[in-house]
Amino acid sequence: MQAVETVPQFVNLRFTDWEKTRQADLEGVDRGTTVAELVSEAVRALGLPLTSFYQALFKDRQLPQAQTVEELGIHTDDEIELYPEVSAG
Amino acid sequence: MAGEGFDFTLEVRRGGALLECAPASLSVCFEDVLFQGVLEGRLPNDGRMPEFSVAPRWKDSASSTVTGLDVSYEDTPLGSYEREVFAPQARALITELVRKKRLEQGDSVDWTLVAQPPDSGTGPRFAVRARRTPYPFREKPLPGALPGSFAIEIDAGVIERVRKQVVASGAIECAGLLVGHLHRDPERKAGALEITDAIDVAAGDGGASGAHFAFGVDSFRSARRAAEARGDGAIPAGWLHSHPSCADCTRNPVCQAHTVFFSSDDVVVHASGFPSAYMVALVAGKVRDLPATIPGFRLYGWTGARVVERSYRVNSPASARVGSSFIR
Repeated sequence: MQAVETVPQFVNLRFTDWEKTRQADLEGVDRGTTVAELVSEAVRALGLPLTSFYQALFKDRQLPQAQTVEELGIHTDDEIELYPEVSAG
Repeated sequence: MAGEGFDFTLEVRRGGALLECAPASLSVCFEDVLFQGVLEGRLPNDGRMPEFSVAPRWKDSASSTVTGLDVSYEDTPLGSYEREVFAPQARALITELVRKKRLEQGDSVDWTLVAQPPDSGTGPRFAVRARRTPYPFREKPLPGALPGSFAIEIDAGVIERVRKQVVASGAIECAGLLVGHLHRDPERKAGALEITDAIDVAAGDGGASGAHFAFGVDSFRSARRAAEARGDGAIPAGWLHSHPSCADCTRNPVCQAHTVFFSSDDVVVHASGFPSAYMVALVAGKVRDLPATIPGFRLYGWTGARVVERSYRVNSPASARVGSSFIR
């Protein structure tokens, strides 16, 4: 008899700011959620300005905003860092 | 996260017609009351954001427009904030409208802050729990400090180092991470930020020019790693950048150009990258009555949830000087 391994449909993810002083745990995230959707929710939870652009980094890899959790191979309890991309004038 | 009781929204209008609306973030207000509450010993420094209550101050009884809001905790008033606190968020919305060509240079728009009961049909698609590390206070006597006060001190060596960095950078903006220590005197219920060093920051993908400096992933990441590698417990305390003079300024000793100011873009950098209430921003540039080879400085920081100019003290082995604006 062959064992069947099922991939959970939902994952729990941790987001931190660049300084690692703020953390947001997102629980029950559908694996079809895009990075852009995750970042938007995490930025709100971290208390950062909603109007800036943030780059998501996972294991030193920048995550394309249009790709999903499933496509990127992100698993439950993975930690993603958020970095603002901003310009001083 | 803190309880709000109302959904606050920014609305941008042209000729009365709604162009854009977006949720207003109250996080700058919550950060302000939390930091001040911890400083004064009224709130615990445990990294939790208390369940604050927020009461809008209505413009009139007939509309949902508000002129400001009041934050309280367990019926104790902690802070009052005017609509202007949200101006940087509104400005970012308007800038985005210009970028999308829904507005043109010269168009006249206005923005309002409105509050409405929460829409029970919307909300996060998943459970969200947020927290922050406790403020990294070190206990230290702060003689003469008034209750609730928060002073900023910069080591003289930092000023000299930044001055050399700015001069070497010439007509291109440069930037750095300020590091130091956060002090609290529990008896006087006062605090101080001591800036002890500056770490060079590399520009992000957007590069740097005479009019901008782009912060990207590597800018923040390498600066954080450099701060951690020091091993002296210094924390990121803020940032610095320069506003260079034009190339001719260095050859013209009577040039009256003045470039030491904090732009609306600088406010965005501060709010996005340095949102903790104790964090500051040092700006260096050409001072009107000084040659370009001797940059002057101004310091900005959070006060009442807004970024405003702050006074600071320069600590040197020989003496201490208070600099409200320029150091000569």
